[in-house]
Amino acid sequence: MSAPVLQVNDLRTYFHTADGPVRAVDGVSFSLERGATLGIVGESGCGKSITCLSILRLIDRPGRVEPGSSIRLGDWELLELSEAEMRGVRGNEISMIFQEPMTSLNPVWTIGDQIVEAVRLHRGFGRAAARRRAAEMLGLVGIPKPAARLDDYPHEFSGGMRQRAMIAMALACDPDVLLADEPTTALDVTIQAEILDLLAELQNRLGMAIVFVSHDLGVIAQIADRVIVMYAGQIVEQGATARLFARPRHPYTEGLLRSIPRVTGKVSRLTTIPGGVPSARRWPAGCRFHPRCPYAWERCRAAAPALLGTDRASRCWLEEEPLRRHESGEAAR
Amino acid sequence: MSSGRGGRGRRPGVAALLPGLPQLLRGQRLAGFSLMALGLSMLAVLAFGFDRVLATFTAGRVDRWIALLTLVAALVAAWWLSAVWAGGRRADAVGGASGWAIAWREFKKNRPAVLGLYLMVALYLVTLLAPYLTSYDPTEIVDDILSVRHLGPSPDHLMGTDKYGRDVYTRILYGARISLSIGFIAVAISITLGTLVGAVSGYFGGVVDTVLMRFVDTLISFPRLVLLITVIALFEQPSILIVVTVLGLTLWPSTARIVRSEVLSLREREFIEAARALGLGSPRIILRHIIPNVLGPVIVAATLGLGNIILIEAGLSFLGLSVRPPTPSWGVIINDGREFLLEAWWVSTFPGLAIVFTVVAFNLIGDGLRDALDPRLRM
Repeated sequence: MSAPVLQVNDLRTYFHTADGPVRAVDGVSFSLERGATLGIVGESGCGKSITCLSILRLIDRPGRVEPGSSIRLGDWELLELSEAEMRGVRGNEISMIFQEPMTSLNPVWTIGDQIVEAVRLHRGFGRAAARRRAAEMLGLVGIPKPAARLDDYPHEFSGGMRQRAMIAMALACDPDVLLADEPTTALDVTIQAEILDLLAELQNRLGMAIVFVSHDLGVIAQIADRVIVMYAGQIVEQGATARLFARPRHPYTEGLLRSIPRVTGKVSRLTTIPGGVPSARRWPAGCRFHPRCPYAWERCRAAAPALLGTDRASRCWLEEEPLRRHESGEAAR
Repeated sequence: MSSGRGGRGRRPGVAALLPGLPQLLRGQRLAGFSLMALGLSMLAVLAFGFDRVLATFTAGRVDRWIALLTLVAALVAAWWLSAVWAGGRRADAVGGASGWAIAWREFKKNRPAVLGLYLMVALYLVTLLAPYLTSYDPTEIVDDILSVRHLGPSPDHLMGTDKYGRDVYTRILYGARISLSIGFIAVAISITLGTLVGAVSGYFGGVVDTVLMRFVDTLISFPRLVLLITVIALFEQPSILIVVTVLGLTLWPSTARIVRSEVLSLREREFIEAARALGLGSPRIILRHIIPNVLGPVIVAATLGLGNIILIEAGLSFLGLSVRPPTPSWGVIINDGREFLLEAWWVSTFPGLAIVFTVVAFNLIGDGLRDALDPRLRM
């Protein structure tokens, strides 16, 4: 096992509003090795995207990464870098791609202009060299006749092609880490599969680590080596993808997996997790999931469990009292 | 535009004869008529004002040389464009169409706007060619005033003469220079300033936004004319330069507001976030990614503002606060005719009409641009 490229430790991002702090990300830790893919799953509002933006330090006021958090890229502590040094990291060492390929490209510049801009900024390439690099990247992400398409405007690209162009832009400077924030959510299923294949192939070739954020468990299962399940700003469960999906330990993960509609088997009502995500302004006391949890008992209301376990961990008291799962499981049914 | 396609000299005989004819034959009416009108009107200037053109070489005045340059350039452009476009201009480009190409296509459909554009081009040509379009001098007063003062419109004096016997038509031609350049420069100043302030304010938000916008509110809350009069009155002799600067510096707040509101919505678009994630700094994001995207409304504001500033300048000169009287500006000419409105209506009427036509032209263009640059047409 090689040294991790990205190490996030106790990341806490709070938004200090007039009505008190909103704890959007509350103590997230993970590490990522070169060439590995980490999947982050969770409902909307659980802090997935804020985690990504925090890593790039793109949180605007009133939001703030709290002191005590640590984000290490190789030997650098990103939270100690100056804003100018941080600009040298963004797009160069760590890149990010976004959910909406339709709006993540500037409509007034050509695709080529936008890739060239990033390359020239970070690599100090001349105009011609940067253009060659841009064409090479477009070819790499599978756009036919890349040199000619450089002069196209974003509106002349389809959604899938725009996401490819975004990936080309993000990878043009050979970053160590790629943050992918729901990159396939806005695409239809066939294009989604193509983009996932492309990312996997590029990872093989270029060796960057990927943080892949999605609410789509199927997509995560396909691309990630390890998975983090987030709920209410915290990691509730983590582990290797196959094992986590085969034997979920946290009731929330269990609920998520049960809510996937199945094509096979008898048709029944879709299973859902009762209730909604609580407000980040006021997380429930004790375990943050207990109001929606089918197994919850006194202990859950009284005290918040830590992330129990190491490599394969779950933030649930059931880790310590596994027998309760069966008792209340019966009762719930 | 690919000039190589189809060969540029496919019908050299026809193109050489008359500019615009090849376009008309191929059914491109707008391009054809424009080129033909340009070519023919320049020829007419040359034919009717030949001795004035010749006088350029002996008079030794800069504006006459500029006029000559304009004349030659316009003639060359008419024939050259006609020949080049005759080759193989794509009728309606489908691939490679930038936002501007799409906007131009929309603009062309709007007849009043195209008419406004013609008027504007004609105005600027007239301004530049003024010495060739009249044989009188705009400021010279002949010794025998009484025999020439307040003559009505006639073939000799198309728009009559004023109380000093000066040709009103000539003064309007030269006055256009003052009015149009004041309008142009003042708009340039106010648009540049307004766009920068608005973009910075909208992009950074927070305290920066509050401070800048309260300043803008303060400026807007002054009655504009009173503010202008006060500032201009501080100078003993208001030169054109001062008037232009003051106009430019007092009119930017409204642009700043328009730009700010555009930027506020633009800032939330993902490509701005993406640009930040690529490591671009704020100045670069504002200049390269924000401002080009607000250019549409800014251009509209500029065009409409141009008409507005010409009006304000006319008002100021009417009050005697702009250029000094011998120099003709449209407002000054109207003021000259004010006392004699009943005996010599032509002195004030014609510059008034000039202002009306100019302002209408700019407003038509502005409206056309507003429709053509509507962001909903993009994507």
